[in-house]
Amino acid sequence: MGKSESNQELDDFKPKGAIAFFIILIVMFAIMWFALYFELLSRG
Amino acid sequence: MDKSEKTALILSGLILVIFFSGIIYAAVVEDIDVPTCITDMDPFERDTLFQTGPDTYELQMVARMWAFQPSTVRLPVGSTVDLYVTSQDIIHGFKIEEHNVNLMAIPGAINYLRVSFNKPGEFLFACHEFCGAAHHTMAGRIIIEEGLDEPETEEDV
Repeated sequence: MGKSESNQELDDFKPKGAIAFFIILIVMFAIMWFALYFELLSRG
Repeated sequence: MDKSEKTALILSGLILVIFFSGIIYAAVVEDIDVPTCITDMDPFERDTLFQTGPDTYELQMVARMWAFQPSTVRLPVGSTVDLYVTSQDIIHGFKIEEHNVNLMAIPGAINYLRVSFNKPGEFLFACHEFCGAAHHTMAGRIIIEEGLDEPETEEDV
């Protein structure tokens, strides 16, 4: 493998696993937070 | 900075702004408050319930091993109660089901919270801080009734 090919691979790299993990983390946290938040609001 | 890093930072910041706005909304628009420790009032030794306005009442609740005074409170629908809680002996908890009330009853101190009862029913309140052998029996009821003229309290003997 040449040096330029290796650089091209690095440029094209996208951390798909990390992005998916991050999105799941945010969504799960938001669901839990809003579940408690709306419980708080419903109790007045 | 990498594009993915930038997106993650923006998303995290956005989520924080949304959560913080939610807390501000609950506090300002919905008037949902957190408990306050009252420092300019001497702790009371007896429970009291009296009317302070057309639909507002003041309830001074005393916790002790292992009962609340009063143990039963009857109030009309639509009542707003200024609730003051203290303890005669050790630290107890005070929680009313289905309402945003979660206070500590601390000897020598008074904790305050305002709560509204807008639907009729019977709501249990209980100690949620382990306080000894009969902790599990330390509970009472707030009964919200339609058409009740005078608020009432009952004591366990």
